Amino acid sequence: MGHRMLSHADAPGDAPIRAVVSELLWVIVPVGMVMTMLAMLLLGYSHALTLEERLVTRMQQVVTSRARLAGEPLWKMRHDQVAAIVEEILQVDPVVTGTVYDDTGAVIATAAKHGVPPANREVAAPIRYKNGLIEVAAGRLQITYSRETLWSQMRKEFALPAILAVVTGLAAILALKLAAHVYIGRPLKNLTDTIVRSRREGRHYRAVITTQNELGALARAFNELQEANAAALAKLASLASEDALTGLPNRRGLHEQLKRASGADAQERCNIAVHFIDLDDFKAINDTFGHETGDKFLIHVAEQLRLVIGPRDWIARLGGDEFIVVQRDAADEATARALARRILDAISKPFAIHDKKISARASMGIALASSVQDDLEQLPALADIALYHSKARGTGTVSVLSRTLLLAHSRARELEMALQQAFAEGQFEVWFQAQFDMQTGRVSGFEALARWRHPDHGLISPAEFLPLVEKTGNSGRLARFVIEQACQASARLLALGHAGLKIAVNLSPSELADSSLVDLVRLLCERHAVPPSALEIEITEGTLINAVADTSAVIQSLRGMGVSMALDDFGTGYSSLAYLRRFPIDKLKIDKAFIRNMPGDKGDVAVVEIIAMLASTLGLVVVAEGIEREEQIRAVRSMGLQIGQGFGLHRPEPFAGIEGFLAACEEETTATHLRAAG
Amino acid sequence: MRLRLLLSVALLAVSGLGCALRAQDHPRPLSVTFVNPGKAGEVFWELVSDSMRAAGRSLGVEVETLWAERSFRRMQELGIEVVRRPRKPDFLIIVNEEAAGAPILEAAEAAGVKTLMLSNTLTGEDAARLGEPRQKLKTWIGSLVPDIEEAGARMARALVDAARANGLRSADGKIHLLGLAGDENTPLSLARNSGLLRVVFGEPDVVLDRLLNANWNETEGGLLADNYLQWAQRKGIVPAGIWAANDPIALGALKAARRLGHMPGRDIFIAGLNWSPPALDAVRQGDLLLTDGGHFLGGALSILLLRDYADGCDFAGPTPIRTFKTSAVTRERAEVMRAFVAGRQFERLDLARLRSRTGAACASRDLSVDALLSALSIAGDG
Repeated sequence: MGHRMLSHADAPGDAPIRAVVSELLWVIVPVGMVMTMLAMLLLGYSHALTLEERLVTRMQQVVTSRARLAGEPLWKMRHDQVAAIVEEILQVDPVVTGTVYDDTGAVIATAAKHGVPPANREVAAPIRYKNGLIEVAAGRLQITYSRETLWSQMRKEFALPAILAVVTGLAAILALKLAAHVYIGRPLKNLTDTIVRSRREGRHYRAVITTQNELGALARAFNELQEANAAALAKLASLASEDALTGLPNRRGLHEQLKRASGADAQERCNIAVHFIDLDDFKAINDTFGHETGDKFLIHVAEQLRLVIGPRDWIARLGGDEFIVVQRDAADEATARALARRILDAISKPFAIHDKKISARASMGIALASSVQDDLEQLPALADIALYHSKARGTGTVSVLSRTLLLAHSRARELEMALQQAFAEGQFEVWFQAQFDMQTGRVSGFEALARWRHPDHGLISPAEFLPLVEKTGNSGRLARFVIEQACQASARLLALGHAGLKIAVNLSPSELADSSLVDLVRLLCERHAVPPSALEIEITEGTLINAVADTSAVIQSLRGMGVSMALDDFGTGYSSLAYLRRFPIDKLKIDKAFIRNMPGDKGDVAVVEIIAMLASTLGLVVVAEGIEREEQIRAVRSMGLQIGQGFGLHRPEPFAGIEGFLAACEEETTATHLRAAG
Repeated sequence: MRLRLLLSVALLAVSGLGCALRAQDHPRPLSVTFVNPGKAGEVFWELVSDSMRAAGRSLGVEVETLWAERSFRRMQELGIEVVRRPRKPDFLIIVNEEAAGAPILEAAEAAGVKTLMLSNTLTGEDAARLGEPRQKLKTWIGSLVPDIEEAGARMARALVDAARANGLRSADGKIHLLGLAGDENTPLSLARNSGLLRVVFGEPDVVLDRLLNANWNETEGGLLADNYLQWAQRKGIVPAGIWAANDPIALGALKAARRLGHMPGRDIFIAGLNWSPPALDAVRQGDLLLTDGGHFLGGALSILLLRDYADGCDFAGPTPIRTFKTSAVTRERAEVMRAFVAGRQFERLDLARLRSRTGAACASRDLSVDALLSALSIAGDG
């Protein structure tokens, strides 16, 4: 609303505009007229003074000359002649009366004009008579005259100049108005109109330049500004849809292009495939070589992509290490996969920098347009799902979005959404799987395993929900739940008289990096009156590799409390043997991959034997996981492995089952098992 | 009154005697032609011609008068025509009226006709070119000119004397006079003025308040006198006398003075010139102090001179230009002179007796009007 009001008030076209020309004229004309009037008054005044001076002079001349004429007749007492002279003086225009006095002051002759205004000035001259012998004062001539004639003369002399002045003034005003209109008004109006039109239509119109004066310069400057603004806006628009680093379209640009592509015909639309590329090692490159190098690498990748794509394909960079390739003629999945392969090859070509060669690896997800009905803009998101799947499968893989993938994805999303509710409603359960002393056949402990009993999907395996828990930041919450359940179970076992049975809990690396874990364990043990030694923490090799320092401190503290430590899935990762010495490990759990093919696979047997020997040398207990069959039990026992675990020995079950399992079947069943195995 | 009667008787006696003398003394008759500038009816010039004729009768001179009728061209034509006549007169008398006389003198010279200029003589350029009579023009035997300057002076002196006698002095102790001239530039006028001025300048206690031009006429004289007298009154001046260039002016002044309450002859004196009968009347009544004049008698005198010249008695003295004095007529002679002039009693002038009394000394003969009138009075007495 405020904006509307502002724009309304600002709009030059809305409020009545007073022309600068008119305003100029409003100043110039009155001032000019006043000045002209003043000038004319002054001129008139000075002219009146001059005229009056001239009049006075003239009257003096008249009176002097007539006095000279009157000298002889007066002296010679020719009063008739004197009277004639006086009468003659009246012929002089301004003279109203004339009087001659003789030397006694007597009026000798006088005459007055009739029907004229009374005189208001008088001038006199002495009358002298002289001949060769004498010179005498004969009398005086006095005339009176009127200044009226002055005014009539003024009127006469000033009428034409006044008319001329008025005409000139009017002409000047007209000329001024015309000139001002041409040189000021019109250029200003052009400019204003252009601005109004530009604002109304949102375009950068150029003003018409009509003059070469300052306003012309202003219009030129305005046009330059318009061009600059247009260019800047175009630049802004491109920046909004373009990635500054690589010059590729950004996410917005991608969507715009896809939106345009959506308008194409059906055949064209169906042939589009979107490749979502995620560089796997980019963070490491950034960390190792710095962001500058990282940027150069991204540019390199973009160039490589340009090289491999088809002429009609195009690339976008979504940010970070994510690129999109839109393939325009992917008629089928095979074509799309072929391009994906070429892309991976191109990216993995070594890139030389700082005397080193980097070769990147990437994961790719592909979504084909045939998988969506209309909206091509959804393709990147679908490709992302496929990418997610690829990443889950491992680096350098390519996944094409399929119905299965889509379903898995949507299930994962669904479960992810349901996590909070699961925690709130206590849908998580802890099941326990027994571990057996392979020599005695007795239960040596349990591994606590989390289970999610979903109201709709039923029991969901940890492999499916743990990544979701980790991803949503709920690992700590789940760990706390599991540890508490383990403590509870341990307390129950103690209460049932089963002392010395450890319960193992799996903790993710992030939990182990959290120092509050130590306090939590202590708290829960105290709450359930369970000695920490009744608990065992199972960690993976990755935990040791990734967060060495923090994890190490937490592990040391737990060990200090009496909690024992087990290294899970041993043999599958990169774990160095040095870790076994550096970290206070109590158990090695040999991954079930080594157990699965025993005893037939001699290689696996050899590996297990070496591990067992190594563990024995280091004083570590070795656990064989995944024991499912009788011959596996025998093989394990024969190799001298202390502890075994697996479906073949005991399937995980809720604690309620454990009580019965322990109470009823412990001795016998175990013995039977052992005997059967032996 | 008694005197007047006596004079008229005397004049009658002279005239009778003149007739007797004429036949005896001048056996050789002379013919004289006078080109009169005036016209018939013009009193002065009639008087001149009349006196000329009377003298001619007395001296055996036949006088022919030709009237130029106030036209100088006519005058020249007449003069030239006379000298070209087959029968030329013995003498030609001309007047240098309007300075038109020189061509006539030259024509007369060419024709060998002896010429006398009367009343005035050559002036200005003509005088410079032609010189004195008998120098370049041998036939121009002379000029007879009235002494008008002296007339003017005589009038002024009379006014001053009368004023003094009557104590007409102003507050400044001076005698204030008004001069009313005829005109500004004719020699006749200038001569009179000159006489006036000579007297006034010669008397420290006399002031000529104005010398005004009255154009010879009574009206203007009256107007000017009127103006002057009023002015004098305002000025606090006692006007003692009015000098008038001729009788009409004097009579005009007289009337003005009377109009303004003056008593001419007692508290103001007025003098005129010309012996005009009205003026002579006014003089006789004591209104005018005097009227000078008698120069019309120059006509008679010119005939006398020519008679002498023809008879071998040259009138030329140091110069052939002779002047003659005019005469002032005061109250005492006024009546006689009024009768003489009005009656044109020139026959009564005994010119033969005048000639015989001076004898052969023609060059030193007293040519004054008074001398002439003495002949009259002698005749009357006799």
